Formats: sequence, structure tokens, C-alpha cells
Amino acid sequence: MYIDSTQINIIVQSIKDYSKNHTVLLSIAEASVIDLDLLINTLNKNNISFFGGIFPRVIHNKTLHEKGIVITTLHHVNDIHIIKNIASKDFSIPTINFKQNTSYSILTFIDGLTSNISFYLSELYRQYGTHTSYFGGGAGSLSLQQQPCVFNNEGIFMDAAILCIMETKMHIGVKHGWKKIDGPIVATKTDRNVIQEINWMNAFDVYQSILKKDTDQNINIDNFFDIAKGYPFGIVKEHTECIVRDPIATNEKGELICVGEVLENTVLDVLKGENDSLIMSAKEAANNVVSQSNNCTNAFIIDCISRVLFLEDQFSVELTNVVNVLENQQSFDQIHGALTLGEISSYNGFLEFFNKTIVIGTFK
Amino acid sequence: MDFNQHLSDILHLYEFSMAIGNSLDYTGNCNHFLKLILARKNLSSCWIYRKENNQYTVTYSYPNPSKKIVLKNKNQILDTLVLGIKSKIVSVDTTIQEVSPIDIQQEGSLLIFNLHDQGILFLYSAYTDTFTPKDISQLQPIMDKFILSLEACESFSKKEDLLQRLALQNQELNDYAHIISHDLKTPLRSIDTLLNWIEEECSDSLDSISRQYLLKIHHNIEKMDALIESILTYSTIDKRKKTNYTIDLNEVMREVFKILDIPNHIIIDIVTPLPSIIADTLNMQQLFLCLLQNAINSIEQATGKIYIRVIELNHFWKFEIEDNGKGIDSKYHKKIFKVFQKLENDSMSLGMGLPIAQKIVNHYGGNMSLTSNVNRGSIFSFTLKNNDMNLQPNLEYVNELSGGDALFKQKLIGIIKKEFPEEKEIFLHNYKSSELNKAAENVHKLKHKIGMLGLDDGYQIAIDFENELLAGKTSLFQKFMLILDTIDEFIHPL
Repeated sequence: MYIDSTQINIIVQSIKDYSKNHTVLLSIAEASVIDLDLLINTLNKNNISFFGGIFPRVIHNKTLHEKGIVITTLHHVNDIHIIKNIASKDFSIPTINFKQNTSYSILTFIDGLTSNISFYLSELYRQYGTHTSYFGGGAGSLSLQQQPCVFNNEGIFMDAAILCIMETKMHIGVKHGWKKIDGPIVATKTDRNVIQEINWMNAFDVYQSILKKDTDQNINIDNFFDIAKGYPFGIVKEHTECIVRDPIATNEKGELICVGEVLENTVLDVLKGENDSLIMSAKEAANNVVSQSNNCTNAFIIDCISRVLFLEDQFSVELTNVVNVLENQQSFDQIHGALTLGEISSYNGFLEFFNKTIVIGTFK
Repeated sequence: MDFNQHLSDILHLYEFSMAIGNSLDYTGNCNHFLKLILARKNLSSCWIYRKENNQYTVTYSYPNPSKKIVLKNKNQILDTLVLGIKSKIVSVDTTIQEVSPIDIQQEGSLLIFNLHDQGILFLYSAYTDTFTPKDISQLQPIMDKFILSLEACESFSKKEDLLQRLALQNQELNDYAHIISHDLKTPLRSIDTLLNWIEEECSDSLDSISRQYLLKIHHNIEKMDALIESILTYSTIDKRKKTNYTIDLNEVMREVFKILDIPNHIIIDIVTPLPSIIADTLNMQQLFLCLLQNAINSIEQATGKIYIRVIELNHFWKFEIEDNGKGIDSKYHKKIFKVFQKLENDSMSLGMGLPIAQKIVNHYGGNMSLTSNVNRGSIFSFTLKNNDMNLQPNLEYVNELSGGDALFKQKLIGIIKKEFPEEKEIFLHNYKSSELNKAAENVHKLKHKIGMLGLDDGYQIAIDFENELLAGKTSLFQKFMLILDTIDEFIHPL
């Protein structure tokens, strides 16, 4: 369900009618003019169980919204936790007693602008391992100004993650469609999300020299974001697509600042985006997920905001394609989603934080 | 296979190799390396079984173990898995599932490495076709290096345990000496109080003989009190928390002269000005007090002379205390440094002064000796380091840990060079922000590197400083910074 009203009583009544006493996931577009504290208080007074995040934009069926709330009813919620103090690593992941022969899935939304996201995911996987599948993304503002952006009945938080454990099987499709144009290279000196040296040389110099082979535009500190958004890095993995790392800025030292951690000595490729390839990969992700899904009633699309910035008007084609594939295969009660600052999923393997990627989850 | 794929493989192996030994903590080391393998090869989990006392236990697992395995009667399964092999690929079956600490699916596969004394490593994929013989041949040399790093972690951990046990034992001995001292002194004070009451209450009825007996009891109580105090002093010289500062020994000597009861017929002459040294004031006072009291006691002549001299040697100060007393026969030169050993039947002498003096000197890394001529006098000589801190870092322990492996040694040095400046910066930030508890945590981490670089005194100062910070005090800051700056200079050119 999508609501564009900003009046709390209307929003709460709509949620109450729609949720039918189930937990709701609220995806709020960042441009919405909503008094969130009042909304949380009013939802609490009405005994509604909820959690959610503020995202650059939200998805309801084939439409992308810059304002409003998408409400997703969840029928098999087991538990919801808020994990605070992620930047300082001063947190612990709660224990769950997983039942034998029961499928679980975890929805997690994290402040996409906090540090130590990889550490959070690592601890999450350490605690729950292969008992569950994982699905989620980074909440926050496209302005890249950090602010409270994940919430539940306890309030709204910054530097935190929300964790919803569901007793249901989730099927996941993940793709990005970025193609290698150069590499392998090695990030020989890094500091968390900052690449300081590539191949033992100044990172910017190496990056610039690689881009020179593909574009006439001369990249510099001022036009960095506009050009680099089309040339991300790929962390090379075996047996699967690489993990995209988005360089979003450089500085006078020639360091490259990425969204997401790059470990020292990581083997990287330099990737390039082309509209057709990206749009096709989103469709593949949808095909992958529906080929596994059986009697799923919900589909949730986590798509990176940077794909919208790259595809611009063509993003609507990507979204329409994805929804068409989902709808053609089976009848979903809800096809919702959000544009995020980084995406999260695992599929029979290590839990990863992606950039510039589409992750689609289907579940009952 | 194209050139780029070969290059990519080689660089991946480089990446794996560089992730080994990034921490000397066992779990930290495994986390760095094994999580990277899982991530890059898209594997689900891994764990290490290690055999000790004929029993396997899980020493590392990522994710956390999801079930408790009772391995009784199943050791044989694990033994068989690695019997005579270095590594192998196996499909998951019910036997494997039985011994896996993590729930794994039957359709998955495992790559197993025999880590020899370090156990067995299992890498698990949820897919059957993940691992190939190429993985084995590429990863085997990496695993050999991983084994070496685990051995280094074990060695480091043993050293840490030993140091912690020693610190604990020292503390227990210190506590024990204090408890014994307190328990013995309490009844002694009660006896003294009761005697005073008897003297006051029965002053009219006590005859002179009874008064003499009471006086003797008083003297013996005083002697007993002094004896207990000297035992406590002796037993805690090397266990008491030192507060080392630069102290002027001339100042120390002035305090000693105030305490000493110097008879009028004895002259004490400080022939050469005394130096300033880094030491504990109380220890130095005790040292000179014991030696000068001994010299005074030895003088029977009408005019007594005591000379105090000092000369500077290489890294040491050599002190001499010369008296013109009765001298000591050479056959007693060893005996006098033993506790409770006295040369004559002096009822008020405890036989503890010289043993205490010698123990203090030894504690500061010096030596004590005696030259004496009967009826002509004695010269007690002792040395003290001209700075009490060993401020010269070295790589002896790093060499020992790396066991001759130059690459691994360079890796260890690399860790220190990378982590030390970062940890120092964080420490300074927290210290300057008055976050003393956090600063104490930083000191706790830094002290391991101080110890690794052979600065034993610096390690002790770090322990003291950490405790001090936890108590909200900061007096050792300058000294601690001196250690950090010295290490900075040392590691920079490495």
C-alpha cells in the first residue's frame, strides 16, 4: 500500500486498516514532510508493530516515489531488534533460538552512512550463520548528510540497524550488470572505505590513467562524482558476479573514497556501466528469483539509488521490466521496494554489502 | 585460460597470503584470513578442530557453532579424514554432518586441510562443485604459511599467559606478605596494650623485678615488630608497585640522615656528589639506611669515619660506602647477606639490613660486593644502572616468533609499523579528551607491542600506567610517552 498523505491520523488509520494486526514495514521517501516522532507515538498508541527506514525514494509496483510511505504487511515476523552504536562497534547481536526444520529470513536496514557496516554484517552472519537468509539495504539521505533513518516502536535512530527475523523462506535474486573494462589491480593501501594506493601507486593517478583509455573526459576532484559514477570498482569473487564498490569522491591526497569497505590488498577490476546491460541484469535478477519462488505473496525490491542516477529516465524501464517479470510469473499481493545506499544479501554464501546492485526478495 | 585469469589467480593468492598473520591473537588471525577466503570463494562457513589430550575441540568457527558436538567415540572419524593426507575435497555425508559444529546441507562439499599440530581446517560450500584440485594446489602453500602463523599466535599467547600468571603470583605473594604481617602485628599490639594497662592499673603493686620483666617484654615486642616489618620489606622489594622518577640521591641522603641516629663520634663524608637516577625514592632511602646503619654499628673506635663515594662506569654508577669499623672476616662475606644471619650476639640486630640492601640493588639490576680487613674496616660496593629503563628496543622476540622465516618476520614488523602509530594516535586522542578508561584500553593494546620489542621495563610501566589511568591518575604519562617516542624512532627505519 502507498500513502501520500502527510496527516498522521490518516496515515495511522490507513496502516491500521491495512495491517490487520500484523507487523508492518514502513518505507518512507526522504522528501516526505511527515512528523516522524508523532507518527511513531501515534502508532505505538494504536499498538501497531512496525519498523522501517527513510530512503531516497520508495517503490510501489511500477512507480518510483520521491514522497510518501509504502506499507508492507509482514505475516511471519518472529522478532524485531534495533542494533545501536554500529560506528563504535559497541553492540551485540541478540541470540535467537532457531527451530529445527523451519526456514527463516532476516530483513535488515542499516544507516547507510554509518561506518563499520561490514563489521555489522560480519557479526550478524557470525551469530546466525546459515540458519537464515539475509536481505536488506542502507537507509539514509541522498544528500549524504547522516541523520536518524531507521526506526521501530522504540523510536528513530542514526548509526543503527534494524533487524526483523521472519519465520518464512525468502528467495533472493542479485545482479548488477556492470562490465569489466580493466583489471585486475590491487588496492595495496586502504583505510576502511578509502583506497589510498592502487598497485603501490597513488590511487587517483592509477584510476585516472585507466579511465583515460575509455573516455575523453579528464577526471579531476571537481567532476569526480559525475564521471566516477559510471566507472565503479569490482571486488573479484569466484563463482559469482563481483561486488561493486562505488568511488564517490577523491581528495587532494589522491585517495578514493568509496561507499563500503575495501580491505587492503583486495583484487579489483574497473567496471563500466551501460544502460542496456544494467537493465538486462535487473531483469535477470527478477527471473532468478521467480524461478525459485513458489507461492510467495510478497516481493521487495532493493535497488541502488546510484543506478537511478546513472540510468536517469531509463530507470523506469528497469523497474517496469522487473515488475513485469514478477507479475507474469505469479500473483503477488505486494510488490514494494526502496532505493537504498548500498544493498545487503547472501545467497548460500558469505553475507555481503553491495553497491550499484539490485536485490530482489520474495517471501510469504 | 587467458593471461588475465592467471594474473587474477596470482593476485588472489597474494591477497590471501597478505591476510595471514595480521594479528597475533589466534581468533583475530583466523578472522582476517578465513573470512577473506569465505568471502572471495563465496563459501558458507569454516571451522578448525584441534586435537589435544587425544580429544578434538573446535578452536575456531565462522559463523559461531550452531550445535554442541559430543566427540567421544568420533575422534576416529576426524583422524581418518586427515590420515596421511595434506588436504582433500569431500562431499557432505551424514558422517561429516555428525562431526560438523555448524548445520550444513547434505548437498554441499568441503575442502579439508590438515594443519598438523594446529588441527584440521574445514571450508564448507553449499554447492557440490565449488572445489577443484586447482584450489588445493593453489591454497596449499598459503595454508603452510597459515600453520606457521597459528604457531606464532600460540607462542605469543603462551608468553602472555605466563606473564599474566607471574603478575598474579606476584600479587598473591605481595598480598600474602601483607596479610601475614597484619595478622602477626595485631596480637602483638594487643599484648603491648595489655602490658600498658597492667603497668597503669598495678603501678603501686609492681615490684622492681616485675618492672624489669615488663620492660624486657616491651623490648621484645618492639624487636618482634621490627622483625615483622623487615620481613615484609624484604619480601615485597621486587613486588611492590614502583613509582620511578628521576631522583636526586643527595636529597635522598639528606632524608636518610634525618632518620639515622648518628652518634657524635662518627662523621659521614660524602666524598663525591651523588648523581640523580631514575628509581623509587623509598627503595633508595631503604638501601642507604641499611648500609649506613650497618657501618655505624660496626664502628667501635673512638672516632668513626664513613665515606660515601660514587664513580660513573659504562651504563652504571658504582657506589662505595667505606667505614673504619671492626671489619668482617672473609669467611663471613657470604653469610652476612643471608636473612637473619648475624655475626655476633647483638640482641637488637635483626640480621635483615644487608639482605634488604642487596635485594634492592639486585632489583635495580646491580650487584653488591664487600672488601674488608679485620680491625681496619669494610667497603661495601654496589652498582645501579645509570637509567633504570631499558629504552633500547630490539627484535629478539620478533626473531624468535618468526622462527627464521624472513617473510613472516617482515610481516610481523609490518603489523607493528602499521598498528603502532594508529594505536598511539588513538591513545593520545583519548588521553587528551580525558577519556581515561578508553586510554587505559589503548595502553593495554600498546603494551603488547612494547613487550614484543623487548622493552621489559617499558612493559611494566605500561601495566602501571594502565592501572593508574583506570584509577583516574596520570603521573606516568611522560614516562609512557618517552617509551612510545623511542619505539617510533626505532620502527621508522625498519
